Amino acid sequence: MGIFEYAFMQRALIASIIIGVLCSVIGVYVVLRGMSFIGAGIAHASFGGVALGYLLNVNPLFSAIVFSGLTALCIGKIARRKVIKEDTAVGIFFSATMAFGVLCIGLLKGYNIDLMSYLFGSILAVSNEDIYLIAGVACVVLPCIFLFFKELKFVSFDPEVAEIMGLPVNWLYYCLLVLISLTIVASMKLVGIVLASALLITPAASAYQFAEDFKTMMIISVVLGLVSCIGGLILSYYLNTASGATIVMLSTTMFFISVLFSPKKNYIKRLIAMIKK
Amino acid sequence: MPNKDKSKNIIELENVVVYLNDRMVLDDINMAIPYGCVTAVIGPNGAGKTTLLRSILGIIKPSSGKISVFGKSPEHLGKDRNRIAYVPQIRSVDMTFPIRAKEAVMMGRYPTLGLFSKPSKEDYKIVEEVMEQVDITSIADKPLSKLSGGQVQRVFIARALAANPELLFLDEPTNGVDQLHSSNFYELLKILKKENMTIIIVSHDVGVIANYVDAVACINKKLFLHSVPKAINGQVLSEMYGCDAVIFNHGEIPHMVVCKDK
Repeated sequence: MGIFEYAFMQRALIASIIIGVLCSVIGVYVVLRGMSFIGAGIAHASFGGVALGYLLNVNPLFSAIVFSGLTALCIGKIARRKVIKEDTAVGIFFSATMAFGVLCIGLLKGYNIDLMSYLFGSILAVSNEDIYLIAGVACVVLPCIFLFFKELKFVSFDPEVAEIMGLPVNWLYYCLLVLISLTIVASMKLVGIVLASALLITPAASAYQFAEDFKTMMIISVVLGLVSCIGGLILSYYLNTASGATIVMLSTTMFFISVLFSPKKNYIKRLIAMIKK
Repeated sequence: MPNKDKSKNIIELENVVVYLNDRMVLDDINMAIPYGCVTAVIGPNGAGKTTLLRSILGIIKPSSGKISVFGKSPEHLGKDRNRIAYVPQIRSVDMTFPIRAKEAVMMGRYPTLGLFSKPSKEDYKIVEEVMEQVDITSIADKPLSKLSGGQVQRVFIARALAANPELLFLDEPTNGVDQLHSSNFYELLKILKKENMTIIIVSHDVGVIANYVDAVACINKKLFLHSVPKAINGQVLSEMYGCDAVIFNHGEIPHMVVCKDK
């Protein structure tokens, strides 16, 4: 395609592919364990991290990783101790880190940061340095998932029995939180903070409609995630829209189609049966 | 069976008191369960049976008192956890999770496998054998969401057996399970007893379970009885259920408890 002659589109395409895979893989755990709110919370925390990075004059994506990683671990620790419910902990951190980010931005008067591209993603915003970071994240996240595949599966399915029988449930939980943070930050430039968590949920949720086992769900999720990211990227170029929003709309449309054709719900069959009567 | 543990009982509880949310759930429990014994823990709803189980397993910490499992405190079990298996109440498990029966059974092998290892041919053989034992070979490829309560329970029993445990816990195994599978469970219990495992079954199914076990512990916040099933009589049950109980006898063991209207 002609558009991929442009360097920025090539970078955006590489980013799309890696992010598509990352979000779809991690998304399976997020969806099955009901952690979508945590995903959203971590995304907002990364905003604080980006703002802090600009303030301290370091690469904002690095500061975002550290900041959202630490926030994720704090949420995890507080939730484990049952001091407050997990979703309350997330809500509190979510807003506090976002507020912190806004304060930092206020302190940066005179600097020109492309806030919009951090919040909503932009195909133009992905630099070479970003690609190295995104690829680096993939090199950490994907091997971890592969190495701990069976343990993460057991712990996601039945954490109580897993703990009783000796699996290191707490470690695995914290590990997953860190992997989610890394994935969110990697997705930031392309999809934007506001919508990053959506990409964690939608492809996996669509895959769930068809899958009868875990591995299948992950494979279908990756396929749908890649289609959303690459397709959304191309669409956003031609329609001149924000890349994040376009990717998420495409992904969501595929979700509704998945539900419609889901063998678990059989809406189509029921509709046909109803019409026949 | 050679015993490497420092204790002659597989489980010991000494003056155990457990509070949950400022409410006393277990009051001064003293119990010793010897190796190889099949014990039923019975009592009404809210009696603290599940709390007792969770305290033994180290999920809940007692407010006072001492618990030892394999001669160690539950928090320090470490690798010894591989010798324990647990069959949860089926209502507490997510049946919508995308997983096939045989995959769920294979999970029982994970603790022994350790991190970074994939299941070997030997593991697949063990999984096949335990599925055969509980009679779920025909449904091995089905996802959990398509199985009945009784079938899922068998899958979990198979998962527990796949771990080759010395100590097996079953939490309300007949709850939410249809009649046919319930009676099959008791037949399965007969088979399990031969394996020389120590088995602890939490149940509200008073009379029936008592026929299949070596010892019964009657709990309602306190321990009312810990003895052979024959020792259960109307008085014990009255004290435990806290009412004037009407006992229906089916053979030697009281079968059903109904509270008399006052």
